[in-house]
Amino acid sequence: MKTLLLLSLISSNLFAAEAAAPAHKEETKTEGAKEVKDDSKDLLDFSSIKDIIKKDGLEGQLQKKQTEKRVHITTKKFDDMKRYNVPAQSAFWSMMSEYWLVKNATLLKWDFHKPDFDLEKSFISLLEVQGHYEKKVKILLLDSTEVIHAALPSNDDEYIFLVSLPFIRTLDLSKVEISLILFEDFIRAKKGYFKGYVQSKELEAYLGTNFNGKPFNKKIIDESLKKYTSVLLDKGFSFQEQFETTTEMDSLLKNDLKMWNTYLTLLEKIDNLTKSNALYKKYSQIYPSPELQLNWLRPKPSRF
Amino acid sequence: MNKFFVSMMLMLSFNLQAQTDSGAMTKSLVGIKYFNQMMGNVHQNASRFSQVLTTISCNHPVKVMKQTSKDGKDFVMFGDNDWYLVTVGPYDGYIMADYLSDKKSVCFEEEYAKFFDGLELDINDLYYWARLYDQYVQGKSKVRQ
Repeated sequence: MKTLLLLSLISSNLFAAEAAAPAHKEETKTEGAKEVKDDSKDLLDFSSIKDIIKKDGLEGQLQKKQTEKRVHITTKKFDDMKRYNVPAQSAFWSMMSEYWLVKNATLLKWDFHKPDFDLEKSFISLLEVQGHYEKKVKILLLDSTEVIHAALPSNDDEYIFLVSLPFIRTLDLSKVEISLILFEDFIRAKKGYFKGYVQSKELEAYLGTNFNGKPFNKKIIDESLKKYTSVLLDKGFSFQEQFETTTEMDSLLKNDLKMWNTYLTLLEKIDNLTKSNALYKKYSQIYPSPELQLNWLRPKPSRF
Repeated sequence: MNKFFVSMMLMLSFNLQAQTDSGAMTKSLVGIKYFNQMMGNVHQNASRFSQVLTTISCNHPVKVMKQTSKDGKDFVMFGDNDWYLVTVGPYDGYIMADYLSDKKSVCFEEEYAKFFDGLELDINDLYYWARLYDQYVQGKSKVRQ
């Protein structure tokens, strides 16, 4: 009997447990479903905001702002890098010549009070007669005889001329004569003789580059300065270059015999001066030589 | 007594002169222009050899002024019509007209800033660079009809 009672108790418990299990299962099921429902509710909320954002164009604005920022950073980087640019040939030479003039201001003595000769007007009219238009001309008078006259290397269609005032006064040169001296220098500058002396392969390679992240090559600039001094005060131009310049002057001026004669007389004056005045002895070393120039210019005597 | 009278007369005349000088011309702004050379000077008078008041560099903005006389005549150009009367900071002076532009120019020291810094120009060099533009005589050949 006892065993019967025990068995019935156990079976009833088992039944109860079995009956309770699906109810619990259902409970957990509903909790899970609730969670999923909650999650889906969250997702739904986000997408709805997204839709609103899309409708408002805020997402586009954000993208636009981000692109703008990216462009700004890139431009700033590019601008910062650009600051390290080395000038190209087209921008370098006038600056370099002026730098040399600044560094040699006391030697050349160009900073002095001088009368207005209107030299630029007479020289420009000669350039125009010769058909050289749109040429920018800068003339600097010197109160010394260290450099008698020269055209310094400069940017395209720009010319920097130096002329010694003591030289002009000693020879009592007229405006036409001074213009002819400048025109001779103009021919030399056009042929690029001076530039050729200063320009090295290293300088040529350096110009137009960028030195961002590298030290500035001051040595190359200092060497160029020394070459300027060497050409103008010591070595000067070669016989070949002088011959080419003189023959070109000859052919250009022959159309105007009066002008051609003025040029011949001018060279005679310079030749006499360089032979008689010790102050101008170096002239023939820089521009060899007025005497030879006269020989090249004078018509050869006919055999008949 | 006589001396006192003379000195009083002198003082009065000076005072009167000063009043007429300041009252004769009035200055007014014409516009803003920009310096278009590498370096340059503002001069006390309309002459390249007159005293330098201050030195300016490329693209420096300057106020171009005109003077109006008592009879209503306007003077914008000075010297041989090739100088502007300008105000630069605290200075009232003159700058060559060719060296001023209506718009900013392309300046070497701005385009190649680090290269220009690398030249290590001292105050003496900057002074001479500005003087160079006082001393140059410049021109340009043109096709003439």
